[in-house]
Amino acid sequence: MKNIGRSWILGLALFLILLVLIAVSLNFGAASADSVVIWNIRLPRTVAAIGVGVGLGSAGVLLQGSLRNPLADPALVGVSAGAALGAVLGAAIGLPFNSIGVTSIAVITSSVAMAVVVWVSRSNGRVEVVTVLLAGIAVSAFGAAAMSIIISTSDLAGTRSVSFWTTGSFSLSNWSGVNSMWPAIAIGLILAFFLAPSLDLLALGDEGAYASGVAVSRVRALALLAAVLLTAAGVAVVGVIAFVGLVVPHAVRLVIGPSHRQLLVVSAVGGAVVLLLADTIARLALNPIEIPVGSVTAILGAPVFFVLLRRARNRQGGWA
Amino acid sequence: MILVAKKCTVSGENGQFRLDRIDVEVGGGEMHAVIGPNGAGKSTLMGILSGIIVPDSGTVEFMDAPLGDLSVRELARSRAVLGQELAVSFGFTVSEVVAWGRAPWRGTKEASSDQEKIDLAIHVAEIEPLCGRRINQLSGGERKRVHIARVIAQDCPLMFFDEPDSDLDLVGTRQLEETLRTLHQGGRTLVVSSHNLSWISGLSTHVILMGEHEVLAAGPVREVFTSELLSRAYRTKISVAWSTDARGHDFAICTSS
Repeated sequence: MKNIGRSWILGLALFLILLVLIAVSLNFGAASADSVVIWNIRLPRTVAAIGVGVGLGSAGVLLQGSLRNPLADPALVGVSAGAALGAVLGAAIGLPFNSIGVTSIAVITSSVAMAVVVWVSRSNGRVEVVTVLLAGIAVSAFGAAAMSIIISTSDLAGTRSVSFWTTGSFSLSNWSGVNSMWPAIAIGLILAFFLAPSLDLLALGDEGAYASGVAVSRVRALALLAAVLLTAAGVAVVGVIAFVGLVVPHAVRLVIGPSHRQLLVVSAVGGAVVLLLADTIARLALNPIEIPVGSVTAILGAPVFFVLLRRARNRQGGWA
Repeated sequence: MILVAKKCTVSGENGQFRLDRIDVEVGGGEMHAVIGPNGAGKSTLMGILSGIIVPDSGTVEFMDAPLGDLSVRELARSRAVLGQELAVSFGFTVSEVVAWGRAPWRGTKEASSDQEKIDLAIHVAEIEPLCGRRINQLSGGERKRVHIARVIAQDCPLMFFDEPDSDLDLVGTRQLEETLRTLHQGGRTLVVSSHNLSWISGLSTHVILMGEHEVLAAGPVREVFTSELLSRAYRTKISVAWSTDARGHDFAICTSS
């Protein structure tokens, strides 16, 4: 009960911070702030940052819970790279960027990446913590390589370079980008909300969860699908943004505990706050030069990953 | 018979069997001990009887209907399982873990008595002082008792305990014995595996003796706890003598030589 009270307090606090950040992010920028600029350039960018943040925060919760892996993050396990490759593929066959068509292809390739990673890292019915990350590295490398081949052999480089996709940016987010992302995010969130109580029981391990009435394979498959939808929708518009899905759920868990329903809701809001903040930093830090938001999150997130890595390794007695 | 397994086979790797055409019958209200040497197939037997492992051939029937006909949730309202895995991911509290025992009853009429059953389970497993703590901060024995409470809260007529005494000290084992007797006297059917032969012989009504992937003998405790059968199962000379503990329960003193 104490945790539920804390969830409300933290959730509301994050929500208020989010409102402040929205105001800040709408008011700062290079161009003069007439209503057309705000409505057509800054507002869609702000809404996109919120959407991507909600997606990454909750996708991190889903991946960590369903794989029982404290180190899981959409970018680290290769789901994001799979989605980015799909978006580039979609554009290469003539679909316009920031469209539902490109997002759909990103969801498909991202699912394939997820399936490959899970299949490679399964042994004796459980998914190994470190193998998931190693498989994620390979899938990400494959995705980046395939992307650079497609981009360098087509005329796509003019609009979105390889580095746009590998360290994401909100600079090309517009209303059609926002419209292409929200349906997948909405479906992913609804799925996640219904799966949350079963994700709690997965903490017992597959056998324990099954003995307690959880259809383990189905719950895990649906949770991974939801994570793919929540990730790919954003990646197709803004590229790969790493570490948000890793850091936000951990930070939220420290305050409100690991129970998944509260964790999902608060991490979704927390993801939006972190990304909006990161984007504001990306725009203002070296004004008038804009740095990619993905590098802001990586610089802040990588040290946290090191700490978590050491903790996970100590718990498992080393990985020789 | 509440549970009947017929000609169940589970294949392992390299064409070997983990279980080879075993037959087992468990009557309502009985308390079965599953004993046998390491690798004989005790956990696999518990697995097929509890529906966690589906046998490659053969049938398992619960209350005269195939176990496989039950949905995962129906199964979880029929039987509870204490496995050997004690680790719980993330920092869940003891109260949260015990409450998971009620998960299969969510949305049913029984859910109205959730809190009552959780409180009772916490009382029976004697874990009141642990409730506010995170389960990962507890010792192995304490974690075991938390999981025992979770399984009691599940409130099923049939209960499986796979080596419940393995992480417990002398006092913990004593408490566990009380807990299992309470459950048995409450009319539940129990299937309990253990390596502590003397302890389990004083506790159970029936014994399933495993040897090399098959059931070597099954029946009332006195009929199976014999020097001849145990020696055959463990492939070493075992002598059996009977004694009575302070509370009047007969138990077998088994010594190998």
